[in-house]
Amino acid sequence: MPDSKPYLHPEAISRITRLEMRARHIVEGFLSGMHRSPYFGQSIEFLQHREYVQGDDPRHVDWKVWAKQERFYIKQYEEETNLRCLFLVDVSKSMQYQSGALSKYDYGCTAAVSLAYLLLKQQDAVACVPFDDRVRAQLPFKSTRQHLMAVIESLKTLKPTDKTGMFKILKKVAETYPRRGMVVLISDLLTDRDSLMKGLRLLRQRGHDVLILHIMDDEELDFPFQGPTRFEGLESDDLLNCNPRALREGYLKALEKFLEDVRIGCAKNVVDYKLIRTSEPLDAVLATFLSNRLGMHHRN
Amino acid sequence: MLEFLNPALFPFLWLAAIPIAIHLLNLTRRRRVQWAAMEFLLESQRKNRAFVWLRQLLLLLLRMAAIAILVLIFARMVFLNDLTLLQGNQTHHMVILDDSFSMSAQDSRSETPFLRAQQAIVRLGQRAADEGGNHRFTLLRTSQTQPDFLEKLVQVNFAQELQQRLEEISVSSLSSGPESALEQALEWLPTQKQDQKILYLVSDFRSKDWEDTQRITALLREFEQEKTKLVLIQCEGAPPANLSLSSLRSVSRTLVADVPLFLEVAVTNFSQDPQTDVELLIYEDNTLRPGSRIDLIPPGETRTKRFQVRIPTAGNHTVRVELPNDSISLDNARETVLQLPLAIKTLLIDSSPDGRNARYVQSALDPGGNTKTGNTTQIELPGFLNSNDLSEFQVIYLTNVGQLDPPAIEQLEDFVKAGGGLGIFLDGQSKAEFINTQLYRNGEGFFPAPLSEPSKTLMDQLQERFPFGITPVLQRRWEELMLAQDENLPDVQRSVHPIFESFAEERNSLLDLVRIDHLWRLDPEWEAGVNNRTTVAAEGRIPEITVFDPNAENPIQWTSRYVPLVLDRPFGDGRVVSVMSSASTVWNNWARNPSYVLMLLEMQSYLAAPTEGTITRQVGQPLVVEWDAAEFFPELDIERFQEGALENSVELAGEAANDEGDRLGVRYDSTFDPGIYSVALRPIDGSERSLKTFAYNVNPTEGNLQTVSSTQLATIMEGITYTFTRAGAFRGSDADGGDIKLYDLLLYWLVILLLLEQTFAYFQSYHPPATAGVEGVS
Repeated sequence: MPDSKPYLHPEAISRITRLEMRARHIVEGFLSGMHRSPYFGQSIEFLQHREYVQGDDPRHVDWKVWAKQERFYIKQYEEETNLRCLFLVDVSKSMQYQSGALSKYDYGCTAAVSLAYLLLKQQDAVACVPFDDRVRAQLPFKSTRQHLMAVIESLKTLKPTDKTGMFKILKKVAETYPRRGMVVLISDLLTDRDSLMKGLRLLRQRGHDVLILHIMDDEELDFPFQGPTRFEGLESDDLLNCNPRALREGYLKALEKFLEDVRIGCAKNVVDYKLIRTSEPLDAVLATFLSNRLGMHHRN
Repeated sequence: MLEFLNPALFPFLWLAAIPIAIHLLNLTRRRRVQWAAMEFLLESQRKNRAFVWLRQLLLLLLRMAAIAILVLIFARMVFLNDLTLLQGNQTHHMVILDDSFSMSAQDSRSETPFLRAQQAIVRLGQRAADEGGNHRFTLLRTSQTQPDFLEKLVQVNFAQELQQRLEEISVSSLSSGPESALEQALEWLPTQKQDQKILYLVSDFRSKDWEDTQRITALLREFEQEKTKLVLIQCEGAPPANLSLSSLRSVSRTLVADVPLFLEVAVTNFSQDPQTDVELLIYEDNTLRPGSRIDLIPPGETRTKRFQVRIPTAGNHTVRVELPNDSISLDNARETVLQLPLAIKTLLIDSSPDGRNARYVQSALDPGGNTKTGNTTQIELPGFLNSNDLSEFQVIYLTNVGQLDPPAIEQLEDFVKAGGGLGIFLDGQSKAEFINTQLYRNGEGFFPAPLSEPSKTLMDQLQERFPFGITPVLQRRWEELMLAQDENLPDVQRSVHPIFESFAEERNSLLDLVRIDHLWRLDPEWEAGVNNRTTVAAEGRIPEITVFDPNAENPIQWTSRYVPLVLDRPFGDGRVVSVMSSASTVWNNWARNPSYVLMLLEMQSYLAAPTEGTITRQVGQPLVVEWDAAEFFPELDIERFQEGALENSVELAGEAANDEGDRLGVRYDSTFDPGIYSVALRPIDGSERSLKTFAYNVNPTEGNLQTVSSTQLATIMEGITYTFTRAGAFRGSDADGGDIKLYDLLLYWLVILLLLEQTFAYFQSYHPPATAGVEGVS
């Protein structure tokens, strides 16, 4: 049995679990059968017919219509099934930066697993795609409890290695998962911000509800370095020998600009965005995040 | 011009490089960080590169400058550029320290004025160093010609250096006043009128130094004219109570071995109270012998005491007398040297074959028989002087000598220069021209004075005025007239002179019965005096006819006057006594008078004894020795003995003393301490060393501790602006250091630099904020 300890923090989970009832209101179908789903699926209540196209499951062919009209039609029902949530977890090298107890990657994985646990408990379907500049693994949507172990295993075995290729990945996700659902992007977003925005726009156009958990290390946000330091790029060959005190102000400005751009980009594309420090308690962060989302939907 | 008052710290300026070293050290200890957000870092570096570099450089420079300034402050940098000099920013302290031995007078706490002077000078140095600024310090002692410090820059540790130097020096044995030191200091006085100059005269201000104040005040006025501030610091000393041995001399004329001789010691009471039962310790050749005692010495007076010594062996012997200890120890001892021959060997030169004149002298000096005078005589013709060695004789007499050969003159000159005594009797044989041109030679020769002609009797003068011949009747008549007018004056009138000392206390002296018929008169232009170092020991009376008219009722009137009869002159180390009349009865009747023997014995003793200066000298007086280059090696040894123990010895090489180079000489100036100085010459023939011995004593007047009061000083210094203070109350200079106190300025700069550095460093460093680095993230 896979070890679930690395990413399942009991405190975080228990705190989120207490929010379970509230979470039901956050996203549609947070619990299966709560709302009429906008998606098509297998259910009791008939919705419409659609002409058969190759590839459709022959089990859904309405033989009664074929008998009358000699045409193949597919019966479509209103789906009452669960939320489909896809976790996109950044496994690029920059995610391995760590100054505190957890690296960004560990923190991100923990957040993904915690949310997955919550969703699976609500009978929602969860899929997980770790990526860097390519898809490193692809776990299908499943709503079984055992699927959580598969998610954990896949995240645990991966080591951050390469650069982040954000647009390429998001485009591929949009194509691979055409069915609308929730996409949770967990990354430090240290990539080309235009390609990031382009990818997010694409996902939104496909009807996905996109959440971004932007994981940043404390040192990346505060830049507390002193004394002569040699900075070596994690995802590049860049080197910089400098006195970090002298560059701090400029660094923080550039970072602020980046974060501002990301916030604005997310707001424009109606993407839910949350910047998280790795030093922050995950349960508190998720609770706040979910509370905020709840408040936002109430306002809507 | 920059100078450092504490230059030892200046090399620490390299500490300014510490920030660079730290920077380089940090580069080697650079931290490596695997960094994800390189994009923002590179962007920051791209934008700030120039500015960051500039700020870091500025910070580095600020730190280096701060350390450099700190070092300069500790090194006490002063700025002495031309501008500073023009602004008069130097203070010159010129200290004249009286180190005459009166400064060693101990008080009841065993403290001396010299100690107080040292303390006052150290305080002055300390004050100057503490004040900071550009002070220059000159220290000169009155006994020295070279300064201890000349224009020395006063630095931080100057007081210690000054104290160390002062501890090394002690009171001298000299009694030098401030004049020569003031003259010297005047030469060294800085010429920059803008500078502040202060002359400190640190002395006990003894009255004896300020008796003749004309020269001192003139010098002090010159200082005043040079804008020099005068500070007179009087060093308090013992109350003016001191006994001083003022002289020790032989009073016996004949100094011969195994003949009893008398010495006289004089003690002066330089105190306000009478001194009684003053014990005298007497040492013969450093062996204590029965002492003597002076019952009473009234205040301010001198009392003498005679004592007899009898030294059985010939040679140089020392006699030392000591007083009990009092406030000044240096004047409590006095020494003299007695050069005692076995007998005084005397050469009598007479040109007459029978030596008639010389025999008169011989009969007085060496009468033979049982009479022991300590003299042996030898009569020779003048030719004897040409080639014979004269050094075996102590005294030579020339009687009835008309002319001498040049070698004889030369030999005689050498003889006298070497310390011999020469007695000359003149008579009708003497030739004025020969004596003037050969023996006197305008003062170059040994003869004391130039001659003109022999004096004439009254009858001779009358005969000159009455050329037609004088009948015996007329002659008798005139003699009666002349005798009737006789003033009844003695023909010989003595002066205060050793030769006639025996007659000093006599009334109706036998000397008054001496009749001088003829004597050689001197050149009327010539006068005895200091310049020719000639003294007149006795004068002879010569008559002069003032009125002669045979037809008158009282045809003859005459008067008499005294002209030099006995002349005394030192020549080289010896002495020449010339009697202007004959040794025999040809020109006088002295030889028939008992005073003749007495006078000749005194004259013999006087001539046989070396001149006073050759035996007893005062410290500081140069020791000049001459010798025959053919007889002795060029090197000689000078040794100083104190109470019989050798104190120091020096070997000196002689230099040519005359143009011919046949005589060598040495001048030894380091006679600053009292004692017996022995000069040893090594004969070339390998015989025993020739020793000359000199006793050096301190100046007894220095023992007078009477000081000048501030009131008296005010009178003396009238018209001169000065500050008078006691050494105990003197706290150092009150002069302002006139320089730019650069290190004060540097201190302000240091504060500014440190503030700037802190500000720069603050803005360049990371300070964990209350809020996160990026706003809005929590």
